Amino acid sequence: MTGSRRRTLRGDDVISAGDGVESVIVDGQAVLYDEAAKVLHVLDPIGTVVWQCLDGSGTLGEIEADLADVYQMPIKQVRTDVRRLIRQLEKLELVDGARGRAHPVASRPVEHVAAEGSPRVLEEPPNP
Amino acid sequence: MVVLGPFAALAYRFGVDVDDDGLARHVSELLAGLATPWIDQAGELDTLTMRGPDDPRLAVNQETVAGSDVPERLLPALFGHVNRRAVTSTSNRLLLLHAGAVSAGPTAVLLPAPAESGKTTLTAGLVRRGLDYVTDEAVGIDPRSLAVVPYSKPLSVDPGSWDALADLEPQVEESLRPLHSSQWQVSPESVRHGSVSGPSHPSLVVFPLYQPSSPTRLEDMSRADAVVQLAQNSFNFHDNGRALLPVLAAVVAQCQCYRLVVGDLSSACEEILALVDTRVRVPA
Repeated sequence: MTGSRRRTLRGDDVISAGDGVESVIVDGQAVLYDEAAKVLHVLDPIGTVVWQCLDGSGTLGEIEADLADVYQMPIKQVRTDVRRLIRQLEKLELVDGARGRAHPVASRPVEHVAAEGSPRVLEEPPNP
Repeated sequence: MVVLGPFAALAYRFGVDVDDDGLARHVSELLAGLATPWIDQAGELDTLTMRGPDDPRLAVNQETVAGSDVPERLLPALFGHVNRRAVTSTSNRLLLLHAGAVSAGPTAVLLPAPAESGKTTLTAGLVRRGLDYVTDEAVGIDPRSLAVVPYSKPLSVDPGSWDALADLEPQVEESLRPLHSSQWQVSPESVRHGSVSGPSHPSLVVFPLYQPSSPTRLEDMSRADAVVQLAQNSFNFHDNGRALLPVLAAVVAQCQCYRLVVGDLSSACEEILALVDTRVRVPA
């Protein structure tokens, strides 16, 4: 699914939701469905904000800068948290990554207020 | 031969031919909640044939159902077949949840849980206390209107619940008693007269977990977690997850969602009745 799973994430990477991943936002939390694995995942509110930014319209660096600006947080901390989440999502094969600038499409504004704490992914086992 | 029907179990339509008058009366009572006045001309109508109780046998379109030739398996075979066909015939039209459900007017309470977790017992307890009966097994939800499609099958009460629901033991003539020796099939009308639900929409989702050694306890549940749990208690989510995920999200968006640790039936019913009371009194 992603060719960048083992590489170091860079600011010019463009990360987007995997082709086989459907998502809905419920009360500020993203519920992701991995169609191939038939597994559901729930993101916490911070993870959800990041997930909503992964639409292929901006680079990782741009997303991190936007989030740091919106939430008035140090860019270094935002970068650490965002990339930790992206690595988790890559490991779960929920995102695709590409190196290089994104195509200029309309981006979605960050509208949600993040809760405190680091991004985390709650994995649910598949239905037997 | 007595011809009963037609009946509708979600989208599955069938009639029942019975060769014994007493059994025919009993099956007719059990299936009363599924009686349907019309038949979709384009749809198929299965014919189920029942013999018994001296020489029990269930056949579907003249093909004998394996294991139905002993008295205690005859009715479970009938309702097991109807359940399976209700689910398979409807899975491409509705979101199908493995859940009991009751209602208070238009307010439906969904009780999703795996098999053998007390759905029927809790459902019966709530109907006995005044809520209306939707189903004890499969909740069909229309993806567009989010309305609950009634499936008022007889309640299938396993021996583990016979003490708690002793008053629901089927009162049948002696020759039919063996038919209920492994599982009681109980008409909703027997639980409470006039208890079959009208149209309803989900407003509460309560995930019951039977833990007899624990006190009954109600816990809030996030809607995101409820989506995951509903998917895991769905008959058809994984067949069409991309289309049904937004439906699940829409269902929980209009619901309050809880986990209910069920220590005993009475206290569990009280918790749910209190939720319903609050929900019904709050204007939409």
